[in-house]
Amino acid sequence: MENKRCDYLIDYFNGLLSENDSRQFEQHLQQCEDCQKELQEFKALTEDLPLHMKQVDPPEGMKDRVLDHVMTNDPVPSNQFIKKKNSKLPIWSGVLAAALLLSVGVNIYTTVEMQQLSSENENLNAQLSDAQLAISELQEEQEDEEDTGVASPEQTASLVPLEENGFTGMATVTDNGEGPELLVQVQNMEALHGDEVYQVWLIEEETPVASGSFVIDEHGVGGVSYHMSGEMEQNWESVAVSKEPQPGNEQPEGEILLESEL
Amino acid sequence: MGKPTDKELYERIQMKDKAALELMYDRYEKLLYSLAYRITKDPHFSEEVMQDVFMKLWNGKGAGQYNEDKGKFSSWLLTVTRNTSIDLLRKKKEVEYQWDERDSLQEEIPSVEKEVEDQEKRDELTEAMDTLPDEQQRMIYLFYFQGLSQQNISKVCELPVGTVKGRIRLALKKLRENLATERRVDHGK
Ligand SMILES: [Zn+2]
Repeated sequence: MENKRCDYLIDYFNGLLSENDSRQFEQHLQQCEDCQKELQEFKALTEDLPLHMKQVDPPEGMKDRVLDHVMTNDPVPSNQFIKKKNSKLPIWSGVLAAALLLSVGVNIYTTVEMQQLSSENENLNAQLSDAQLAISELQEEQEDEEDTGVASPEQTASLVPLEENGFTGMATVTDNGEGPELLVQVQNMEALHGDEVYQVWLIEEETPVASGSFVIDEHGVGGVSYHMSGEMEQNWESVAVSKEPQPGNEQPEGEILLESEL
Repeated sequence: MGKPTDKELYERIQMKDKAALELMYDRYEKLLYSLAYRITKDPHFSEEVMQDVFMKLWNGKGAGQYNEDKGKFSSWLLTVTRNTSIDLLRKKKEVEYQWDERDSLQEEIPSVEKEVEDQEKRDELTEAMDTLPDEQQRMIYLFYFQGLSQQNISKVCELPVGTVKGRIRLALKKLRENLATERRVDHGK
């Protein structure tokens, strides 16, 4: 019997359903023999049609370009470089490792997600100390593993305080295969109150673009990782950090505290 | 030493064996490229698809994760390639859709005459498609090669949404019959 759910088959096959709808359809699929049979037909078609197509000659040099692309965009080095079995992360240079761990352990906070952030502060702090522990372990490990071939960050810059405030930080642009990513990590920052956040800005021709925000732990340490998707073509001149009264600002309200040229 | 199977190669690729990736590439380059080209109709897009597919294979996660539940390896890899191709097509066309969904969809309807003139590109699939009525060709084209939603197919073909699936299945059934006939003619099977 045709059921309303059966109508989702085409969009399911073409990967057009939301994750939720997709899951619901898969549940329906378990019980609906019609859909199973029809999906099987569609799949058989995918397997079959290419075999009836005339093969086209690829453009010259495509093989090298494709394989190069895979190797240069791979976050994990190929097996001649693989190191300790217990280390899941590639060994990056110290600061980058820190920033990466922050991004892994702390979650990635985009501007939108920041709305819920202040209530999660405590949780965040706990994760931060874990991350720091991991960083120091990683740095120790790294010392006896210098010069082993690993992907290197594209750009790293020190963030310089604009006043004598003692704040420090690093900004790194890297690419782990999912597009360029800006990693910012700071130390010795002053405590935030209420909804305040530290906001990262990418700046081109004096126009700042909000590029992720973060809060800090009780030691004044914090960081954020920000996907620069689609914006990498732009010629960013500098990266800056300001303190904003609330997350989600499109334009800085607070003063720029740290800055670095890219 | 015999040739490694697809599955063995895939497993070596998951161990980040670069040589295995190259072997896999050589084995499938033409087939996958031809499929991508058939869908995107553009050599640059097709190369982008190839990069994406082999990136997925190398990373082995999400869409690039293969196991035996997914059927034969070659079928799975073709599915990944088709999906990557229609995804890319959608991305490139997103701007157009926003501009005027209806008009740009109309442009995608294949010109049957042009395909016939283009003797170079003729193959079993084209032959088998040509014998179908225009409407059936269009259903297959929009559904399989463009990956359009049921809703959009109904709009473009001016059919009630509820009838789209039935029409697609009918068209596919016809196409399969034609392909079987082609095979017999071409290879005396
Ligand atoms: Zn069903």
